[in-house]
Amino acid sequence: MSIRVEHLSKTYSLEGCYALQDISFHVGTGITGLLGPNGAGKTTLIYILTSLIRPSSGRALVNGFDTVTNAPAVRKSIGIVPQGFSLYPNMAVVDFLDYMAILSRCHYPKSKLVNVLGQVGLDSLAKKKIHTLSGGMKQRLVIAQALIHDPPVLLIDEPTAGLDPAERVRFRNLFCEIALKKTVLLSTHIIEDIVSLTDRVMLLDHGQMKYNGQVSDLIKQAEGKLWGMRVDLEDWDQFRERYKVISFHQVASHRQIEARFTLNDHPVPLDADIVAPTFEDSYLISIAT
Amino acid sequence: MRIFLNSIWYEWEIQCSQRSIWLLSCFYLAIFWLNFNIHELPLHTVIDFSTITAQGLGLFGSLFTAVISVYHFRREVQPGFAYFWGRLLSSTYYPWVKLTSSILVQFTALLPTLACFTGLLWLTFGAEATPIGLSICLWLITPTLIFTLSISFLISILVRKSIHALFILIIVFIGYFSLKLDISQTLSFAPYSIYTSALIGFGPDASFVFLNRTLYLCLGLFLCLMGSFLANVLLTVSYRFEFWRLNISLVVFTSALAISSILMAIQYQEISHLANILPDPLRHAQQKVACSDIETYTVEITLDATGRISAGNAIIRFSNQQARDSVPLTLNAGLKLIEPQAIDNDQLLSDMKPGYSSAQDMQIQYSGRMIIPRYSYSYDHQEPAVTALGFESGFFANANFALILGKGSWHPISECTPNSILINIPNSYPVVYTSADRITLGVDSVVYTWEHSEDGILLIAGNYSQYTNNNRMVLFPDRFMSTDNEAKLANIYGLVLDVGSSFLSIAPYNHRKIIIVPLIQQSYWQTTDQSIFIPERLVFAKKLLDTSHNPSLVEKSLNITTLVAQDVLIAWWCEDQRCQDLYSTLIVGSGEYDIQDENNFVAPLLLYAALRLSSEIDQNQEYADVIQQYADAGGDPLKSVFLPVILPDSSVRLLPEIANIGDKLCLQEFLYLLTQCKELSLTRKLTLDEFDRLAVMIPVADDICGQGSPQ
Repeated sequence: MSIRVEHLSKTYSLEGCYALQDISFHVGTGITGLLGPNGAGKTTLIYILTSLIRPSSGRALVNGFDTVTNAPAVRKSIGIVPQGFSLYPNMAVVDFLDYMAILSRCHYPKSKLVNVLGQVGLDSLAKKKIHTLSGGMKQRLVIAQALIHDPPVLLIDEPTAGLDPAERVRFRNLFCEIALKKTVLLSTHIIEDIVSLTDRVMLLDHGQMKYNGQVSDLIKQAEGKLWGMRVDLEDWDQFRERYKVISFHQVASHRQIEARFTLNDHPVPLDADIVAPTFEDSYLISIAT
Repeated sequence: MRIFLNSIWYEWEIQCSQRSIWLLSCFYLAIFWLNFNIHELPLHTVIDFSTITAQGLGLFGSLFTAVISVYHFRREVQPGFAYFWGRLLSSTYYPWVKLTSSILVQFTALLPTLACFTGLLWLTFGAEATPIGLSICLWLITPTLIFTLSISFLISILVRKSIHALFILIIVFIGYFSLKLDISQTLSFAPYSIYTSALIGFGPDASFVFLNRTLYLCLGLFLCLMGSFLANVLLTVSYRFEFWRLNISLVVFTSALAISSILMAIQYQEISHLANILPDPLRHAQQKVACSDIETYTVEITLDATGRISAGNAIIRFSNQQARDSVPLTLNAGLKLIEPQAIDNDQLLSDMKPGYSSAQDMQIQYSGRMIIPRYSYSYDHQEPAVTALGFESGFFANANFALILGKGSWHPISECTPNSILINIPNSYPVVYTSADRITLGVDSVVYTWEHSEDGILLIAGNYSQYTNNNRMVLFPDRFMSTDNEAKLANIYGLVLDVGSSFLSIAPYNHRKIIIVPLIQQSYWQTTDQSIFIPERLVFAKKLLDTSHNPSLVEKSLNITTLVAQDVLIAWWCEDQRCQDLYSTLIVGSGEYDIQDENNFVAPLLLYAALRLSSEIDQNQEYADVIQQYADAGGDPLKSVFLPVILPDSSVRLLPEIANIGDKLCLQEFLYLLTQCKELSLTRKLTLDEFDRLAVMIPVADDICGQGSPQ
């Protein structure tokens, strides 16, 4: 019940650029966060793990099966929750789930389907048409279809984008429950999701693995590198040119800006103090270097 | 299999929930109802109605289907369906599921239309005809829909954007229609210009229809398979190896389909070439001349149960060797000479090398299945010299029907009548008419022998229903028209013959048979037994349809009776001769033909006679209005379309003048004048002046002119 990736690369020959470059990692049971900015290669990685696209070099093993040479076994082992999805609006919720189960070569009684819907809180809406569901409910239905054939590995791509805070919390709880028995690779660019769900994270940027390890270790790596100070508004532009600003906010009453930054090989400013980095700071420092 | 069927069910449900499918369903229904007039339905045959329906739905429906299918096929390849393609069966089963369900969805959309079609079949032609009509319609339309869907599927797989796919689809269809113009009928969606008959179905075209539909079915399935392979290769790259390993049997099946399609297309082209080949009228003319040099001509053939000539033997004794060596042979292209005389039938027939037993004798042995050339039964416009050949084959036989004429290319010198014929036919054929001198029953077959020259109809076998009226039998093909219309038509034939018997010196004859015969283009009056053979032509039904389009003519109820009277009058005028050019003037209404001058007069004369006869039978005197309409139309085919026939310009001008002379005579006097004209026409050319002169010479016979006569 694991995902093992060895020296995986993917190039798009037409565009002549790397989508993934020599990626290696291994993840086991529980949730692993895959964090990276848009265009980092997260979706490409998930598609390779799903056996939808072929890697240019290296290999990926899902649950011990090679995604190229043993794609059927891989597909039996995975459930996928894609980023942005289309459903069949006129289909009943339970029928949709049954159809997806059939395409996974599973034939379940209705009770089993309703059970799975129960896991995502949709059992009472089993007979409703999909077009009557809200955005969050549709998202839950997509999770249900990923779970329907009980795969040991779950690949989740940007699951909480566009959800309201309450729905997002509900999803996090759901993923935590699922991850007790499964390997979950959660791809996202929303840092809060990672912080709330897992202590294991991989940072992907421009197709390269920037970090793979514990969240706390990533924060430790950033300790001593992050500084904080208030900068007068008139000096702000000059300050930004010298230092790598990680985050800032305006202090309105004093016409000043409070900034968190790295030195960028420049001397420490007079009023600056070392500050304790958050996970978000650590992530941004990692992808900035 | 259960998984496959369940997937199809859900995919069917998904597609059926789309509005476009219901729009398609309404579109089919609209095409169906716009494609024919419900009032005309009783005048159609089952096969005719089924074919018209299938052609309309196939041609227009398939275009609409192709367009909306592009969107259906492209739906799952849009972003957002990654969860779908990541499933175990989506790369193997799914393309098949999609295709199969799309085909089912098409038939679902067709269901309301098929229900209406079936209902109308049932109500009009009865329960027995319903499965026949439905199966014909489905057999014609299914390959079209599968072919259309497969093209849409293939383009949807190859082209990523729907709008581009649609654009390419339009180009493909434009290209298709352009090809259709160049490669006649090979690529047609549905057969066209086909012969439909209640007795023989598509008749000689049956093999074309079968090949055409099977070819499209094979081609459609082949493209479906190709699409399915491409779907796997293009949509799920890493699955390729598994797919090919799992589907080796499908690869074999696809290859078999491709090879079958190619072989079928070649066969289709070959038969099409032979069927569309035009005759050499000069060769026929030379044969007519050579007939006088033939002393004896004996033909013996044996038919098998499928209508194939399993053995044919012709022995000809010429009066001299020169005649023997110069006679051109016109054996049908489907018949092959038996060794050692065998030659390639694609070569000119003059290249045949018959066997010679003496300086004056020629013996030709042959066998094969006749390929009936289109010109010999077509209603399309063709050269007058070709039209004049009439049903040149003189033979058609399938498992249920046989029609054999004395003259025809089923024997080597088709224009000469054999003076001894022997036909050995399996006793499974229901023979309804024969002019044979002797009939010998065998164990499995019956031998019909003619010991005299008979160039009319020798034998008819087929499924007929019979109406008896005053000892006169009218034989209609089963499921020819609705029962009411058949009875009405039989009655009209009876009435016309009654009047004819009274005034046209037509001998009253008990047990006279009137038989509706397919393929022949003109009426035959068999003088030996006084039987009349009426062509089962759709033109007849068409003319009846025209009546329903023109209420004023319906009120006058002239048309049906006029046409029946015309049939009888032409048969009477021509008797055993072939008046093919007269036929083409009066029945086909081909006014543009460069017909013989005499027919310019005979055609309107017989039309006027038919109008007078029908006026007598229907007890109204409004035929003058019809003649006035001819005068107003002045030979314009568009203006004449609702009139009984379309006459050439020169004939139209003569019609009022004939009427002026004829109207001065009572019907009896006029029909007497007509018999005089017929006798005169045997010796010299008939003109208006001659007609006028004969009219003046008619003795006034007040005692024979009853009340109501014009005089």
